[in-house]
Amino acid sequence: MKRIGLAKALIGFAIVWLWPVAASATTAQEAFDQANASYEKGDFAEAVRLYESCLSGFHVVNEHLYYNLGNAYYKLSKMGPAIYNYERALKVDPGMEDARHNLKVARKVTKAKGMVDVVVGAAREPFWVRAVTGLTPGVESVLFLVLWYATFVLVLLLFYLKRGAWRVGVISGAGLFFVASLLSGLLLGGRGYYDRKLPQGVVLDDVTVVREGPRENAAAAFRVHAGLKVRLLESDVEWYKIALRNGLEGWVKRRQVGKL
Amino acid sequence: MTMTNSHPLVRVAGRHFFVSLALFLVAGGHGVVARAQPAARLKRASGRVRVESRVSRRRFALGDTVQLTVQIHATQPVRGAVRFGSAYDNYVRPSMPDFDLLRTSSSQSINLSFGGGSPQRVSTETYQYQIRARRAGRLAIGSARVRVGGRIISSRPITVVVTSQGAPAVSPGASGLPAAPSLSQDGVALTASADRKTCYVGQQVTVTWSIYHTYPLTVLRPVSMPSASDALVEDLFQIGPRTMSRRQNINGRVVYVTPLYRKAFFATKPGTLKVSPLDVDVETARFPGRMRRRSPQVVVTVLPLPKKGKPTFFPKEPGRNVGQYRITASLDRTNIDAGEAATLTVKVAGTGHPDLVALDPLTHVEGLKVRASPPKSDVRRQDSIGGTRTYEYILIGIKAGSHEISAFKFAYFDPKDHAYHVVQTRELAVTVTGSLQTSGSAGATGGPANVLSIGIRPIHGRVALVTRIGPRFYETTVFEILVALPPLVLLGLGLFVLVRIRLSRETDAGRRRKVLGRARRRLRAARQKLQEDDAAGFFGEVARVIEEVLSEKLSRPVSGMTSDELRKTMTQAGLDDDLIERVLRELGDCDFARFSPAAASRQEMERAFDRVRKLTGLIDRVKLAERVS
Repeated sequence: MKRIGLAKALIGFAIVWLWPVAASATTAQEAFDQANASYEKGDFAEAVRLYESCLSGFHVVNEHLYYNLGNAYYKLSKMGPAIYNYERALKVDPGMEDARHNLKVARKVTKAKGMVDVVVGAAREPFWVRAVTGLTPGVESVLFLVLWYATFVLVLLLFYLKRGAWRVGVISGAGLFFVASLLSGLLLGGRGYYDRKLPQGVVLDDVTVVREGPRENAAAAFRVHAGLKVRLLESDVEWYKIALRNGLEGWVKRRQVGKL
Repeated sequence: MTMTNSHPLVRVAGRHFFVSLALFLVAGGHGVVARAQPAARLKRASGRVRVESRVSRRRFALGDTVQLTVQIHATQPVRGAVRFGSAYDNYVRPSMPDFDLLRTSSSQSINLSFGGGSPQRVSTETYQYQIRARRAGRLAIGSARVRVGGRIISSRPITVVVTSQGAPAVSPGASGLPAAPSLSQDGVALTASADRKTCYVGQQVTVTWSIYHTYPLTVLRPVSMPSASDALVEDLFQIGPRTMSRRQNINGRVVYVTPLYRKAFFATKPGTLKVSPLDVDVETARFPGRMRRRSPQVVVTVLPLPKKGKPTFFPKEPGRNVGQYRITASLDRTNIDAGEAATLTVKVAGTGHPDLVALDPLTHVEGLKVRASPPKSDVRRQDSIGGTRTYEYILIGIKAGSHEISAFKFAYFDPKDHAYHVVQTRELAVTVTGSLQTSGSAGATGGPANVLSIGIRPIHGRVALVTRIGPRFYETTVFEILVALPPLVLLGLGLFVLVRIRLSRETDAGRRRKVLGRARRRLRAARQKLQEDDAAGFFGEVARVIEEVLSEKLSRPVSGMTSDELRKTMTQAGLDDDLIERVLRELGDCDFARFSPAAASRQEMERAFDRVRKLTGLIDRVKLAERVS
């Protein structure tokens, strides 16, 4: 009887948490389908508007949505937003081959347009950054949860195993899983720190003048082009402070950079 | 456009000038001093006064109203107390024999300047005349004159050209100076003035609403805003906290004029443009209580565009392309691979409402697929509305080769010169490499090669749009709950087991507490029986009290023991002999009384009750030598 009650509670909990997602997808799906139809008709501007409405109106996070939006921007010859959205698609699903291909093509087009930034003396990412970004956040989250739950399941088993070789084995296994879950938790924590404290962005405008300060009349420091990945160091209402991999820093308008 | 005529005046003021002007001020009357000073000094003094006159337009049509402004600037050094006497007199307004004088107003401003070492008083007196020509032709407006110490300073005469007909006439409220209202006793009036009485369809008409008030306003609240049908409206100005009022002298009465709103109207149909009145509620410092004022309705005649000289490709829809414009076209790339896109941007910029700009769309370019984006307007709201209309075309390369985009032609009507103009962009070309067109199999038929360039992969159409929480899953509350759940479950389980074990374990102290509690309850029951004179029941209860306390102390039941066994057990447990005797005696007395209750009196029972109570306390406190097994 108690088990049935717990099951009901879990189902109710799941409904409460998943309901908003399901509800938003119903209406966002319509906008997405309309956007696809506009794209297929060749009305790329309308397609962009509808895809963007899925993002801003329904807060949908979906790799296909980002991918299609990137395609629409590509068709409008807006390479910065196209690259930005392909990058977003790959962030959600790093194995998305189509997004990887189109990102490559878009970068080729920017190169053909002469919009290429050669970042001289770019430093390699530090080890910890490479470690925490080696896996996707989703995989890191699931890995941590699996190890974490395995640890506690083994600990619970100890209540039933009073003595004997099995008990020793379970204690050892619980210890190993606990250490492994701590390590994966460390990776996940590092990922959270990296995403929150060291966010990245993609330059959207074809040519963006990076300024010395967060003012329109501040001196121009250097220029960057569409599609360049930059690190976002600071932000205020209208400006981002960006840094390149070689240490160059400056300020750009928020609308000129898409935050990943 | 404003023209200024200033008389060539002497600008250099020497030391003698200051001396003479100081004497002049100290004397308190320029006339007296002027007559007393030598002629040369008077000449220098008059050099600090200049008279200017200007008209709002030099060329206008018969029936138009123009504004003539005369300004007299006077600069005087200040010594000691500031005096506000005038530096000149006998102002004579310009002679205008060929004009009707419609309205006159004047104002004066005085500033103190502290530059150049000594303070100076700079005054400007302004006279404004609204005039209308009586006939066409080249007409002269005479000089305005003032006298400074016997010397006459005058402005230059002005010549204007008045045409018999043509340009839309200017209303009496031209140049932002609305027609003078008639102020009622409360001294508040609302005016509305258009900058023209007649306009072309699509031409800007600016309407200004101002409030005239004799006393400062304490409340000003719009009730209904003006509007017009068949017209585009843009807000140019709206009263705000920093709006300044200006003083104006109207027929000898000083009033404040505060601008409220200024809007630009673009009629989209020929006929009549009617702008509905503005209603405001006002309250002044002098007259408390809400007053409602309504502005007059503004009516402007809207003329159709002339047919003469109209280009064939000029838009048919009325009101389009009126103003002054220029057009540019640019490509973001001139070389593309087949399947790739270039963006063609065409911009029409200038004066006139951008939303009323119409340009023939680009529909076809050989070898390119053309996709048009919706045009965008960037409106610039200054005194005259202007801005840019941007058309974007995505050109996708289909066929290899150089593809020419013919020049964009744009025709507009300029209401200033009443003529049509045509401007155009330069021709552009896009070079496409490769081709998307298939013309049969290459080689066998001798046709062109089917070159397929690298392009992007198609969109993902048939997918369910489900929000992925993966990337940010670890930041969600669900994740936090999932992480916290196992340790919480484990903790709960541990606490549960702990409590259960604790509850199942009976300690000596707990057992003692329970026995003593039970003994107290039995003693209460015994007292009850004592009250009821139930001797058998009473002694039964007190005997059980002794036995239970003793059983708990000796950790074994004593109720079934004989007296000898009990004595032996108590002795082994280390109870002293006196206590043993008291216990055995009390138990014996109880047995006796239970079976012969008539022998026990009430007093005897009360004494027994007190003894047993003390006895149980002694048994509880006694320290045993060893546990009785």
